[in-house]
Amino acid sequence: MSVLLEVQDLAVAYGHIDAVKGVSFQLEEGKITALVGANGAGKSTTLLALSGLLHPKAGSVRFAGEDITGLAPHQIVRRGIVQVAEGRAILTTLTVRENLDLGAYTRRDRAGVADSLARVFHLFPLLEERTRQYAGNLSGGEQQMLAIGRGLMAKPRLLLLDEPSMGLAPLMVQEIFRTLVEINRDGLTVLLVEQNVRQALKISAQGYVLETGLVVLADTGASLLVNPKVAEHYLGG
Amino acid sequence: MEAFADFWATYSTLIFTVGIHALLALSLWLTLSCGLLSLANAAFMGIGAYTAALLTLHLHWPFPMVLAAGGLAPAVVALVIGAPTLRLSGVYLAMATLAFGEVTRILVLNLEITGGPEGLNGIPLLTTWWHIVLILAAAGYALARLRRSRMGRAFEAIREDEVAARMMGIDVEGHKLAAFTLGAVLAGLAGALNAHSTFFISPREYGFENAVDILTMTILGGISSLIGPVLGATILTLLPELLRFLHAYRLAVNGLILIGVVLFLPTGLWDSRRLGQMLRAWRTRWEGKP
Repeated sequence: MSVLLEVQDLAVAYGHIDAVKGVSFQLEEGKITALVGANGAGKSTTLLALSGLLHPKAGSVRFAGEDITGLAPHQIVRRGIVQVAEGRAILTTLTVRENLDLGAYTRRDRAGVADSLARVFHLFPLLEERTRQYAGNLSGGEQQMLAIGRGLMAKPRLLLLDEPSMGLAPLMVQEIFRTLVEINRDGLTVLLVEQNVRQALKISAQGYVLETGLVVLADTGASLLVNPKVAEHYLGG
Repeated sequence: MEAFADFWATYSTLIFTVGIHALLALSLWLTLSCGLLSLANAAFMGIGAYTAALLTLHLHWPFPMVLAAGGLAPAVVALVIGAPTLRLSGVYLAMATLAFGEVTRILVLNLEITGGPEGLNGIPLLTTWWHIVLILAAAGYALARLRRSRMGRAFEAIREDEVAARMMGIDVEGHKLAAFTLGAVLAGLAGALNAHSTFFISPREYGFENAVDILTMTILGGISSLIGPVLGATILTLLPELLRFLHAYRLAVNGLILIGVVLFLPTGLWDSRRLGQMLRAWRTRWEGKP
């Protein structure tokens, strides 16, 4: 298996506060990798640094053999890394369709964009029924679907997901995770940041546990699920 | 025919002003469409006006070239000041652009070539009605095309949510600079047209008050479509004239009308979405009748 993304000693600070203190991990192509941990462990900060929204203080990020450390967000998107933000960050005053079209902003291959749209509608039939509705009128779960759909419209090589289950009803959480598995089956590499540790590790090939800005455990998803430390701290004993 | 000649003699200045204000409102609409609250457009108008007037007075350039230079000069300035200031957003950007406007005004007030506080006199009246109509129509057409273009959609995304726009791969800084600069071009054109229709220009015409006026016209009309700013500019230019019979109370009533509009129609007079809903409601009521 080849490594798609390699993070070396990545450190990110907000002013004087070190949120991420030197984490290293790698993502295998075509696999789901989970980054789990408690609130404030530095998971979201790591993701934001990968997508260029935050500037790393130290360390390096290599994507498909290229050093992308410190590139601007739009340059990173063009290389195929697309983030689905926490809190969904959809454009509420635009329609569902307009949101999806904007997702394909960086692409110029019309036929390919049409294919992606069909694929998104296949994954989320609900979105196809609501193409002309304003995104702000969707429920939380539907907005999350739209956010993921919009991310897929960019035809990423790597999808970064920040807390996709946050604030959703349990059934909707199941639905979102089921879709992630399906997306991954198409060959898309996924990095998943989650507080819902059990669900995240279940679908992940590889997992990393973050604590106060450091990687404290790294193993396969299945092994982490049965690791007593993980069980004690994150799975409620 | 004679009646028209009389009417034109009396009101042509006012009609010219409506057109120029409409162009200014559209220039700010463009800047706002990318989410930038800028108070620099009055200064851009001034830079365009002075550049154009000086080229006509001293170098006797042909009018089309003068107009082009009037649009280009503020664009160059916008590119230079935009790079550092556009990192700011909201009120902070408004303050920075306001400061830029004041610096420009004071510079013009103290330079020799601009005639200082006396301004420039004896600018030939080269602007005709069709210049204004043509440029306004061209600007309207270009902006309508822009709205539907890739760039227009990027502007919209940036205005709605900058972080989301970045995540979609939009070069936020580049697009903001483009919106700011293109807005400066339109404001500069308005300035050049204005200078050649009023015979005389002075620094007073391009200060803070005018910056606020342009903002008021645009917001009052509504920024959801291109009709809004043009409507706002027309109303705000004509209203003081229509209220002339109120004499001393004119400006007070003018202000009250503005407050009323802002209170009851916060999205502006022309809100395409609201108008669409009203039309649909009307239609259902009409069809519902036996």
